Amino acid sequence: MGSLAIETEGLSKSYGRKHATASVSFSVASGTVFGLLGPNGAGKSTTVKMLVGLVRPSSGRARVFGLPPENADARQRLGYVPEQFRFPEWLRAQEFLRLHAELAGVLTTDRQSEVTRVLREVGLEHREHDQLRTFSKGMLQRIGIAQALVGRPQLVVLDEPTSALDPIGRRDVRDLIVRLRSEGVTVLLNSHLLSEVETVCDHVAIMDRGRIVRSGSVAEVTGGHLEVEVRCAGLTDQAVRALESRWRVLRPGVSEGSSEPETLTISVMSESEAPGIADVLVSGGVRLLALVPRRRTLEDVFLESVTTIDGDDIASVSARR
Amino acid sequence: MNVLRIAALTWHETRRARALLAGIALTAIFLGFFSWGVSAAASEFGRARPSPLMALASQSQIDFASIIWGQVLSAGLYGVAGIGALLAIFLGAPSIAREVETGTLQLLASRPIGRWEIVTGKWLGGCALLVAYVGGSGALACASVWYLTGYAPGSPILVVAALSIQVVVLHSLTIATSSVLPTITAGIIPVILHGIAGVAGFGERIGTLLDSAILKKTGIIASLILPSDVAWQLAASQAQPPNPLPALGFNAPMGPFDVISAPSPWIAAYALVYALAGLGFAIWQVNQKDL
Repeated sequence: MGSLAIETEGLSKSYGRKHATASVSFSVASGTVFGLLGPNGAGKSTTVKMLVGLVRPSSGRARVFGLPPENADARQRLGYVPEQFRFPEWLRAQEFLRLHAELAGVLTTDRQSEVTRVLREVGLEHREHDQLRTFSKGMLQRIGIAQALVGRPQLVVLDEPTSALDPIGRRDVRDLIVRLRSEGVTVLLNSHLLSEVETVCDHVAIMDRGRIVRSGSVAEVTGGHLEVEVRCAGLTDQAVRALESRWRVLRPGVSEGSSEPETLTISVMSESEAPGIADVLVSGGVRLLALVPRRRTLEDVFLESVTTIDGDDIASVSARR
Repeated sequence: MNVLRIAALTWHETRRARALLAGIALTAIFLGFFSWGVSAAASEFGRARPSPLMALASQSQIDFASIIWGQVLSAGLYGVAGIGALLAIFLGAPSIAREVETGTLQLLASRPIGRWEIVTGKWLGGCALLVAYVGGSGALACASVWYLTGYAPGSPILVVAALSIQVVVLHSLTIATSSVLPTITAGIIPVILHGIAGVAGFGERIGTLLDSAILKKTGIIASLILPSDVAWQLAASQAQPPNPLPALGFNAPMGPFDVISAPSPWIAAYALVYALAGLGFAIWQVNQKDL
């Protein structure tokens, strides 16, 4: 692992008595892709804005390439696509990108070639001379990504970069992120699309209610945690209690004594625990119909890690449905 | 350098939004009507029989024609100043507030550019546009009156400078309100303050006529709160010949645009400090702001 592109320590932001983030600490190694996950209102965008110097932390500190985010040298090495923003739509694509090339410190002689390069990166080279007001929502999102790439930044911060894109556009952005990583560029990706994050990110942090509740490499976050999906009939409370004494069990609400088959999800540390689950169920008089071990996806971990607005955990809410 | 880039962007936006074209076209129509009116008045003035007032003026060796044309020029400049004041507010109100509301400012502020450069660039671009507007149309109004009547103010440059001070003051105040308030509120406050300053200015002139200390004081206080009307009075006093009536023992204006006693040149310095304070406040506010 090389030097750190991003480092935060106890980063907190409060608006009055409301805490947008509370003691957020993580680091992102240079040349890696880092995914920031979390439900709406988890504090992801606030964290990102503190990293690019748009929001001042109430306490804690952030460093970008070892420098405070408001430092001009740090910003010179950074490209950013905000989550919600409107473009100066009266500008043509080329004018908009040239302005950002100027502000990013690209030499006058290199500006046109840089504009052409980033337009090609996002597949909009044929719209160079069109006013942004004529662009579709997806095309505007692409132009937003293009401006973040102007000046070949070493860190690209993408806050929900694919929310307005169609499946092809999303795939293009995924390919772009992979390409950037291969060029040694660090990418911080803030996204709701968990499959997208799982595909391209090396490390992830899951935020909930302003805190990081889980972080690590994608393998660390999803690995080491297996699930066994059990389909059975005649399940009794006694058998469920026996299972719960050894494992974490998610059971959708089904009335006791129902003869309808039901499905349980049981967290295990390894597949070798599956026969033990079968033993507990069979000895409890439960008819075992199927028992399938499966590795958890990032989405499973995400749902288990975050809470809903009223404080219940999402997994148990899903299970109750 | 970044300040100039942002200033150029303001010009570019105004041009692309066709606001510049609309402004120039409508001002051309306004100046056309004004010149037609001046031309009609000039031909009538030449044919008119001397009125008793003109005869009295002639006996007192007062250049009555200069006074009349000074008033006519001031009427045209009053239009230029009024339009300029509204433009200063319309340009300033959205300049920061709307960009914060829409998130446009986030993109600029994430670049290696100081927030002070963004605010100063917007201020400078707006002021340059407004000064070009009042400078151009004020100069054309002066040229029109001179061409049609032969009257020219003592120093047209001072007239244009005073008009410029008015728009810079109003634009700076609006940039300051735009840095803390939503777009509409940011525009409403300077409009109302400018209106109050105008009324207080009239009050001060009436106070001078009646020798009322309270009315005069009200005008002075209003000028300190917002020196926009007093800048207009400075422009009007430069556009007209000196009022001869006080020397004859009458403390009265020579017409609707006469200011009786010209404001102190120091008010110009105060207005410029006021404008810079507005800019400084806006920079400070935007620096504090979470975007």
